Amino acid sequence: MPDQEMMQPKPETARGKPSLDPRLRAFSRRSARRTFFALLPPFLAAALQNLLWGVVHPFAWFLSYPAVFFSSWFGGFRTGLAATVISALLEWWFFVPPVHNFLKSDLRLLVPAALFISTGILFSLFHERLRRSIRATSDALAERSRAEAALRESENSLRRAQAIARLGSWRLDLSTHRLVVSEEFPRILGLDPEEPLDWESFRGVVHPEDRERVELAWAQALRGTPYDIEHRIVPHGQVLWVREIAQVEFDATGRPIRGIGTVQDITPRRTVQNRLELIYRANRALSKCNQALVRATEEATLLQQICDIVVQDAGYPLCWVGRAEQDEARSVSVISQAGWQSGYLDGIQITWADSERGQGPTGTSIRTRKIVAVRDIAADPQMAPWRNEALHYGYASCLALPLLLEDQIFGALTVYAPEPDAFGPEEIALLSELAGDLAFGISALRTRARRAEAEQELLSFNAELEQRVRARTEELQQAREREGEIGNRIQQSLLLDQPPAHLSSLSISALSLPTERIDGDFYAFVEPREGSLDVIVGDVMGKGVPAALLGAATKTHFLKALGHLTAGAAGPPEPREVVMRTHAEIAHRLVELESFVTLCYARIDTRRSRIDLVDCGHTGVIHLHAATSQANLLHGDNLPLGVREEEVYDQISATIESGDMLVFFSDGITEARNPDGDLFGIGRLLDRVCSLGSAAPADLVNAIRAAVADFCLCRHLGDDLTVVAVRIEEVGIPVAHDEFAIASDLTELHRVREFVRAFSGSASAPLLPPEAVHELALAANEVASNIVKHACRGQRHRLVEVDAEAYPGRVIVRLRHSGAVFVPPPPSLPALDLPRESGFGLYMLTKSVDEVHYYRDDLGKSCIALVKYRNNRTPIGKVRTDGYPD
Amino acid sequence: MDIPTEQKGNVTVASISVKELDAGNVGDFRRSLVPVLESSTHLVMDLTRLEFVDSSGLGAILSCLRQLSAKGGDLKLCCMTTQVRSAFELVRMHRIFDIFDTPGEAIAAFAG
Repeated sequence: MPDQEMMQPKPETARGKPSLDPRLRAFSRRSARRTFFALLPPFLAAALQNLLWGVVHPFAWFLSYPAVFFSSWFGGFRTGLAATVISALLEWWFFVPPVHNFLKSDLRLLVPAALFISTGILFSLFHERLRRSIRATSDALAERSRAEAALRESENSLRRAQAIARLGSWRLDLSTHRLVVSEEFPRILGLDPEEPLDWESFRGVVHPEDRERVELAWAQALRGTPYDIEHRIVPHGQVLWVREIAQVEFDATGRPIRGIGTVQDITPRRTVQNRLELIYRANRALSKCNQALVRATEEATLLQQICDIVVQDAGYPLCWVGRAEQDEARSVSVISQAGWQSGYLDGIQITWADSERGQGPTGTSIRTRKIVAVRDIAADPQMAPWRNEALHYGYASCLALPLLLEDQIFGALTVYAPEPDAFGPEEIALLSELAGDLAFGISALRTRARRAEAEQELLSFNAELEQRVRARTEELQQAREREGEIGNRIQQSLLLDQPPAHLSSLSISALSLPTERIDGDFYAFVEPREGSLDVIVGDVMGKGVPAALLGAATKTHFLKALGHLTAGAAGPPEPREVVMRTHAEIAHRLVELESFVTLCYARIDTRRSRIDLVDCGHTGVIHLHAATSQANLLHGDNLPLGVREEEVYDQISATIESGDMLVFFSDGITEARNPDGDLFGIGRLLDRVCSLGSAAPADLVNAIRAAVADFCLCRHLGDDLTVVAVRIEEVGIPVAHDEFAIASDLTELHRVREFVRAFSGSASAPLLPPEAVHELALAANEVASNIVKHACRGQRHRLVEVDAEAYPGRVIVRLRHSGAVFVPPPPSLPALDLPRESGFGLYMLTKSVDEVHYYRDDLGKSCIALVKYRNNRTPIGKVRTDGYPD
Repeated sequence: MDIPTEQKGNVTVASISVKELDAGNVGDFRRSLVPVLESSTHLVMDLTRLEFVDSSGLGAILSCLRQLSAKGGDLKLCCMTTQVRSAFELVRMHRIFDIFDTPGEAIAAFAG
C-alpha cells in the first residue's frame, strides 16, 4: 500500500497528462522521494526495538512515537497517518503479546494502541498545519522579493526612459515647498543635482521672455486649469525648448496640496518644426511665384508680385529687386520692392562697381553673378556702409540672388531676415530657385513682347502686301473688264452677224451667248445671189481680245475676198475659191502669229438645191434630211487656216431638200464636259438634232444650248459655244413673182387685196384654193391696214411695197415700209363682251396664214412676210438616230 | 355710203350696199348707220352684197350690236357670204350674233 501510494504521486497532475510538463514531473518525483523517506522512520523504529528487545524490555510503543512524529514532520498529514498505521500494525504484530498474532486476548492492550494512534493523528494534523504555515510564509517572502526586484527594474527603466526622452519628473509639496525631482530633471534644466531645488531655482533658468507666461500658466494651474506649456529655457546660455505638463492635487477644501509634473526637452522637435514651417512658407512662396509667372503679362507687375509674395508668404520683412544699370556709376536702381515701409531703401545708394558701396551683397551678387549671403549684418564688414540703417530697421541677415537673363545680368533679388543666420541651405536653394524662375519669367515676357512686336510688324507688312495685291487685283480686274467689254463689243459688232431674216427660202437662227470672256468664234452670213446664202462659221485658236481681233480680221478678209472675186464675174465665186484666196492672204500672218483658224464655209443654194462646203479643220455641218428623218455629218478633211500655207482646200457638196435642217456648231459644243469628265460628243448632238428636227431653228438652237447646260450641270456655259441652225424652207426657183406698191392710205387697202387675189387666185392657174386666197388677202389687208394706221401715222405719201412669190410649196406675200419694225405681242382673241370694236386685226392675221415674219430686210426696210402653204405640208417627223457616226 | 332701209313692222332691215368693208370705208359705214341706229331698235342687217369684211368692219358691226343692246334692241344678221361668214367665225363673232339665211327668218326671229 505505501509503495503504491509512493508510486502514484499527485494523481490530479499525473493522470491523463503524464508527459505534459517536465517541471510538473520533477515536482512529482521530488514529492515521491520525500514520501518514501518520510515513511522510513516506522520501519527503523520497529527494527531498532527488535534489536533492543532482547537487551532491554522497553515499553512496547516506546520507539514508535518518535517515528510517527518524524514521519508526519517530513511527510505531512497523509504520510503521518500512513506511518501511524504502519507503526501500529508493526507493534501489534511484533511486540504486543501474544506476538505474531493480531488477535489479542487482553483487551486492555487496546488502550496503548488507541493512545498511540490518537497521538499519531495529532502529530499528523499538527505537522500538516505547521507545514502549511511555513509554506505560506516562505511564499510571501518569495513574492515580496520578486516585487522588489520588479520595482527596481521599473525604476531603472523609468530612469533610462526619462534619459532617452529627455523627460524629467518632479513632485512639489505645496505645504512645505519641497521639490522632489527625477534624475533627468536637473540634467535638462542644467542645474546641479547636488544642490537643493526649489521654484526659484527653476524660474531662474526660464527664458526671460517666457517667464511671465510660465508664471501665469502656473498660477492658473493652482486654480485648477491644466498646466501644459511649451517655453524656452536658457541653461548655460543656450536656448532650449521644453514642454511642461503638470497636475495639481487639491484637498477637500479645494486647497492645492501637491503638484506633480514632467518637463521634456523638445528643442529638436521645435527646431525641425521651425525649419519645416520655413520650408513650407518658402515652398508656398515658390508655388505662388510660379502662378504669378504663368499669369504675368508685364514685367513690372511680375517683379512687384514676386516681391510681395516673398514678403507676405515667405515671411521675410523686406525684399527688393535692384536693376544693374549700365551707366558710368554702375548704379543699382530699385525697380520693385515689398515690405519697404520706413525708407531703408531710400538712402542705400548701391553700386555694382568694385568700390566700397559695391561690396554689399546686392552689388557683389550682380558683379560676381553669385548668391551672396550676409549671415549677420551686425558683424559682417561687407555691410559696414548700411549696417546701422539695417539694424535700425531690424534686419539681421540678408541674401542677394543674381538675376540672369540668358547669360546677361539683369540685377539682383535681395531678401532680408530679422534674425541672424536665417538663410540655411534649404532657404537658399528655394530662394535661388525663385530667383531663377523670376529671371526666366522676365526673359519669357521679353521674348513674348519681342515676338508680339515681330508679329505686329509681320501683320502690318502682310496688310500692306494684301492692300497692294488687292489694288493690283482691282487694276487687273478693271483691265480684264475693259478687255471683256472691248471683246464683247468686238464680238457683237464684228464677229457675230445677225442671221438674215428676209430670206424666204431659209429660216436661220444663231446662238449668241453673252460671254464673260470673249473668244475668236465668229460667223457671217452673205447672200452671194438671190436664193443663196453663204454661211461662214469659224473659230480662232486662243481666247481674249487677240483671238477676237484675229477673228474679225479673218472675217473681213473673207468678205474682201468674196467681194474681189465677185467683182466683174458672171456669178459668185465657188466657196473653195473664196477660202483659197483668203488663205493666201492670211496664212502667212497666222503662221507668224502662231495661230490658226478652223472654219466652215458653206453655200446654201436653194435654187439649185445644194450645199457646197469647205471644211477647214472645223467640226463639219449636221444635215438633217426632212424626207428620211435621218441626219448625217458633212465634213471635209482640210487643215485649219494658217497651219500650212500650201494647203489646197477641197469643196464637198450635198443635195438639200425643203424642210432639211443644217446645223453649224463649234467644238465648244461637242467638247463640253460633264463633272465626270465625259464629252458631250457628236453622237449626243446628232441625237438632239434628230429629236428636235421639226422645231423652228431658234427653238433648236435653244434646245441644244439647254442640252449642253444640263449635261455639264452648270447654269452658265463657258465660251466658245456657237450654234447656227438653218432650215431649208424652199428649194428651187419661184414659180411666180409679182410686186407693186400702194400709197399709205386706207382707201388703198382694196388694192392690196386685189393684188393678192390676182396673184394667188388667178382663174387660169390658181396658186391657192379660194378660201386660202381669201385668208391671205385678209391677212395682207390687216397688215397693210396696220402699216398705214400705225407705221405711217396718217402720212399718205409713204409707200407700202407689196410683193408676192410662189414656190411649189407655198405663197409668200411681203409688205415693206420704211417705218419701225412692229413686233406684236403674242396674238390672242380679244374679249368680245368688252366694249371694244378693234384689236381683232392681229388675231385674224395670225389665224389666216401659216407663218408671219417680222424683220428688217437687207435694204433696211421693215418687212412683214406672210406665208401660206400651198398644200398640207408634211411635218418633219421624229428622225431615227441610230446608225450615225459619233 | 348709201344704206337703204326697209321697215317691216317694228323691225328695220338695212341692206349693206358695199361689197367690201375695210378700214378704208368703215368710217363712212359708221356715219351712214347713225340715223338708222337712232331710229330703230330692232335691226336686221342684210349682208347679201358684202363680199369682204376686215377687222375694222367687224368692229363696226359689233359696235352696232352694242348700241342697240344698250337701248333694249337687237341686231340680227342675214344673207352672209362664205367669206364674210369665215371672217366672223375666225374671231368667233358668229357666237354672239344671230345669223340667218334670209331677212324673213331674221324678222321672224324678232317676232318670236
